[in-house]
Amino acid sequence: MVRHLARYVVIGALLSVPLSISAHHGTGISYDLTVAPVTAKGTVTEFRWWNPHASIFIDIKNDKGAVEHWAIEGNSPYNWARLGFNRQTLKAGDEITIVFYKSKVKDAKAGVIAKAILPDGKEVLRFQRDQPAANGNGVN
Amino acid sequence: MRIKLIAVTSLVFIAQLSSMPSAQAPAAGGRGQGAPGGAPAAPAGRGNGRAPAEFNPYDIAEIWQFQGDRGINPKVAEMTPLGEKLFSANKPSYGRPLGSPLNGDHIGRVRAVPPALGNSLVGDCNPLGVPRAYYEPEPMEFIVTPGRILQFFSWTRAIREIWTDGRKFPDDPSILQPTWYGYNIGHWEGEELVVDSLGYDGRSWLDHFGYPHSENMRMQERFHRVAANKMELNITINDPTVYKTPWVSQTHSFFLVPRSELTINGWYGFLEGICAPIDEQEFNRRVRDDAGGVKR
Repeated sequence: MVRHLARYVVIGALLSVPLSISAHHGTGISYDLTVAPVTAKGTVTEFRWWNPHASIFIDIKNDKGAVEHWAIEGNSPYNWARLGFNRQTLKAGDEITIVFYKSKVKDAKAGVIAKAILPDGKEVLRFQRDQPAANGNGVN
Repeated sequence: MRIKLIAVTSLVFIAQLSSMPSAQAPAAGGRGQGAPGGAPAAPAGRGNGRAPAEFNPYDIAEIWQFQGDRGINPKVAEMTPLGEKLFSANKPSYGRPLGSPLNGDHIGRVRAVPPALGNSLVGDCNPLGVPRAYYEPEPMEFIVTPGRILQFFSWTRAIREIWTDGRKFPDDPSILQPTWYGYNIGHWEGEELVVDSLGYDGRSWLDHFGYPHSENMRMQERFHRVAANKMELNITINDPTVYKTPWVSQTHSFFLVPRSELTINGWYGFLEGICAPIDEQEFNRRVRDDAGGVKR
């Protein structure tokens, strides 16, 4: 019973949070949210759980097999914590699939995360939508 | 009392203040059971995510989350020439990209540049000031004490004092040191908490869209708890240096934050939402600047 109750509390919290989710720094404007996000496998080199926005640093192999080091912007720790994530959700060495929108700046190795997928298929760290928005408005 | 203490576990001194009887709000005839100091009793069920069947409109001592458009009002008051100049100099990072078609929106909606290229003081972790602090995605708590109501802003962990001890503004407010959170005097008019304020630092923006104000701004806020889980706020900005007429806000809505939302791994309370420059600078250097194409 308590377990069931706890589940409802968690679900309720998850449902209620998106209404208030947005960020401090105009995140949406730096990235191109009008084109489909990149889906890539990579190795986390660092997961920074800091204000104002958590960040994922990740090595991703490009088409030619060379490793590129990407900096991926996330939500604020405050908002991600309200979604049930924490500073241990990722750690260095984790092999993950990451879905992110690239910076509008050509060749910049920077993006903003839509979500990460752990090896067991679990989706974590949701921030932006999976689908691009025609007007370019993301969660900013 | 127990519930109040739980609600402010993150700050012991505030918990102590909060446990004192509140004498500022007028008694609500027939509502609640009455509390020491003549203030109405807080309703049961505070912060537990369930809306009590009844609520006390004078009891605003809750944790609230703003929801809605992050701006004063899409209908913008006409600016003075100086106001236009100040507005043009501000480079916000909210809304649609600079140069986007207006599509019937207000001009502040189409001026966004990447944060690395913007000039919001908040981008360097400077204070938000009010009313901009309301528009953040983290909640704000009202803490009611004798003679003073505190607004505790979760993001940046700022405290704003609203004095309810009957004081008046100085005869010559121009001698006051400008502040990010103002000199604030509150009183009750019916069910509304009316807050008059002045003495603001002219460098802060009114909202996320970069609308300016000057040190001469006077503001009136009217808070009204209209439901168990909802509070409304109407703001009037009087700043003839920047706006030719008073700028009246759209009605802002705040909603009670369910306790479950602020309970993380069993720990209830505000997280530490400090924007520390040491973190901000590193974030900017390693993420934000690259994303904005800025090399420093």
